[in-house]
Amino acid sequence: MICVLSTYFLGLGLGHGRVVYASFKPGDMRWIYIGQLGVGAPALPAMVQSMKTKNGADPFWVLCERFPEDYQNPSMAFQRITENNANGYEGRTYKDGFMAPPAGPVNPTEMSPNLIQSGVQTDTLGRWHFDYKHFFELGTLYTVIAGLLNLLAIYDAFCGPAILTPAQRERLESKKKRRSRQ
Amino acid sequence: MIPTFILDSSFASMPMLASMTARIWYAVPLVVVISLVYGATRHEHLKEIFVHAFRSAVWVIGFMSAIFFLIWIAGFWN
Repeated sequence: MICVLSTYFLGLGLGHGRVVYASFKPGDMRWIYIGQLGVGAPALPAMVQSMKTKNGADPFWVLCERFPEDYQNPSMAFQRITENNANGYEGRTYKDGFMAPPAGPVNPTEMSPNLIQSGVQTDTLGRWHFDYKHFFELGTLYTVIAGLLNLLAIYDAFCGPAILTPAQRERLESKKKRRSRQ
Repeated sequence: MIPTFILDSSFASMPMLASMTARIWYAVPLVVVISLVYGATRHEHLKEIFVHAFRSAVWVIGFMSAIFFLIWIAGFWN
């Protein structure tokens, strides 16, 4: 349990709380969440966040805000809003939530070619990869492995050991023989 | 006699290898955790778990090294 949970939370930390999210939208099919769900309860907030943000609502536990795709400076679209780049902007924003799916449209440039002309090149998920570099993938890997290891531990608790050693096999067979004699 | 293209590539890849060194350390916790959990699913006693975990870790590192070596060799034809 210590091994599994420490791996999971280390991965979540490496991915800045964004690598575990439940999204099954076309274009952002997060099938890897099925593996992460193996950890159990610690992965469930992602489901809550997914339900909360399903109709475009803001997530719980907001981590930061981002400029929308139609921001006046297109190169800043989906970038994190900080004190230095906000310039008094008070319009609509996308919010990153802890274990929430990436906010805003997926591949907005595919939906409206005007955005390509204006210079928008990415979406929120793309920005996450850009901001956190390889840590996003590392965090995903850590959390998935934690989930899969927990599944192995659950299997072991129910009907383990997973693979029998020759000595264990002998012991089991001798037990069966004893039972059949009785 | 080592072909010059191999020497060239290996020297050229040294800085890249150095920059990758920090990243490879992220594999250590994973190897440790996987070995321990796998060992714990096979045995009940602590000593047996650690012995099995050590053997698993050697296997995992061995496979990783083999794959690294294959990719490294493949890099010469890049």
